[in-house]
Amino acid sequence: MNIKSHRFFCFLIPLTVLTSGLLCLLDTAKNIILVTQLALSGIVFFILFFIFLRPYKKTLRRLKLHKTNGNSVFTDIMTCCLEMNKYYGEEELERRILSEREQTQKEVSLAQDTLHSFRHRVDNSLSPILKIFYTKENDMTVIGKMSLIVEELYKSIETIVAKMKSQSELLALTFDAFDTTTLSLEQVDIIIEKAKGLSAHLQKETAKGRDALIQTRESMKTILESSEKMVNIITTIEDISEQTNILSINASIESTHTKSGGKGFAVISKEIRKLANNTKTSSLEIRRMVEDMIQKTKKQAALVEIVFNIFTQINSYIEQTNETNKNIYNISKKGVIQGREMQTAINALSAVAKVIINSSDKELFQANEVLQIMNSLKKVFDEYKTNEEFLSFLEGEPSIQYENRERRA
Amino acid sequence: MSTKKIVVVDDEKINLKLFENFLNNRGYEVVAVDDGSQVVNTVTKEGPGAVIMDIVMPGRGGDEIAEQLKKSASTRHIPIILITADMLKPSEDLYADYFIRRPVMGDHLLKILADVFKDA
Repeated sequence: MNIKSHRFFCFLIPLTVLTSGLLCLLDTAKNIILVTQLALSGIVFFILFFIFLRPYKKTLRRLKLHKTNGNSVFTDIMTCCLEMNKYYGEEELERRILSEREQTQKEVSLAQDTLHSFRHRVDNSLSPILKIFYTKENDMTVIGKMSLIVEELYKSIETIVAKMKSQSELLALTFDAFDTTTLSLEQVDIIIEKAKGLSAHLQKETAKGRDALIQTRESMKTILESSEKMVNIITTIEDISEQTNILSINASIESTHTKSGGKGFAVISKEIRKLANNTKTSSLEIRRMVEDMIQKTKKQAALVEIVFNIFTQINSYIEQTNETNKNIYNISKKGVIQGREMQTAINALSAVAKVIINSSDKELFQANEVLQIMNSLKKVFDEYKTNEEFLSFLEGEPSIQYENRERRA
Repeated sequence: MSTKKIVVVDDEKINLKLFENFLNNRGYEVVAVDDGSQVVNTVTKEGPGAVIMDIVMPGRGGDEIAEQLKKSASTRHIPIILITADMLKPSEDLYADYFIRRPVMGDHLLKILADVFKDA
């Protein structure tokens, strides 16, 4: 039976009875039976009114209460119920309203539990910030501030991590550069080592040449001295041959005084003079050769002296090169050591940077997570910020308007 | 389970990147997916040890995808960790082995993963 049929029974039947009663009264006035009939009709009317109309009025009153509270959710429910009323009867409507109410209660209860749980977690995880900023008077501002703080924190951590990453890359590049430099220095070191070896070998060979030249010079000196002696000897031979020649001439003269007896003596003296002349000729030849040899030896000695000086100069140059090599070697050695030291330091820095980056990724992750929930919370607040019931719930009151209305009902 | 591979699903790229950094540095291999429609294919292809998925995503939500994965014979054995920032989302009746409400605490997540990969 729907509300329209209630209306029919509640109004039409008593109206018919009353109308018939009045008509009877007009015809047969003061007829006691009709008066009784009228009275009975009135009673029937009130009984019908109380039986059929009261529940409907009660429902209307309840829906009106919902509407006057101005809650859009319940206005929607009421509109929906009124729409439903066109198709369902009182009992069905009542059942559905109760069902909706139970569902809503469940949802609100779930929301309460969830939000309490969330608040508890946020209190635990962000209690220092909450303690500073949390005020019950203005939850929206608090959440807004917290959201901004977390966003700032997130941005700073992100910036720090980005900077660290770039520094780490830079360090890696510097490390590579130092590695290359050190390697180059090591190569220089090897080349210098080789040059040193070559230079030492050259110096050794030069020394050998110089020693040979010194010996040659000494030998030449001896040859010159010997040649000088030979010239003296040749002079003596020449003197002897001269005297022999004179002697042979005298012998020849003396042989002419002795006639036949001196004939053989003249032949001998002639031969002696011939021998003396030959000796003189030979000694002259020897002298010329010795003198020529002396001249040539002197020239060679002069050349040897020049070569000796050149060798001395080369040796001096080699010594200077050795000294320079030694200096370069020492410098490169220092460079290699310093390079290695810097490499070690950069390695350590790089390791530290990696540790920092690895540890900060957790902070970044955590900050982002907090930011996510902050945004979610902000969204909820934005959605419900005009809902007084929700705000009163956040202030920690155990009951909300809906429950109060239920108690009233 | 022989791999420490995890498929992470989130429509927010920055979230994916942070998950990737966080988990990579702790010895997990992360396959990041930012499109809900690609999850089933990726999970079937990669055969991960676990799936971490955000519930609230445009198009198909993480809960729907989880349901599909759990109903498929080839993927039902893969542990699913659902994450949400939604305050009113119930944790019951979800096709997930673990359910985490945001903010996800790093240590808590690592504990769950240690539990998931305890035989790996």
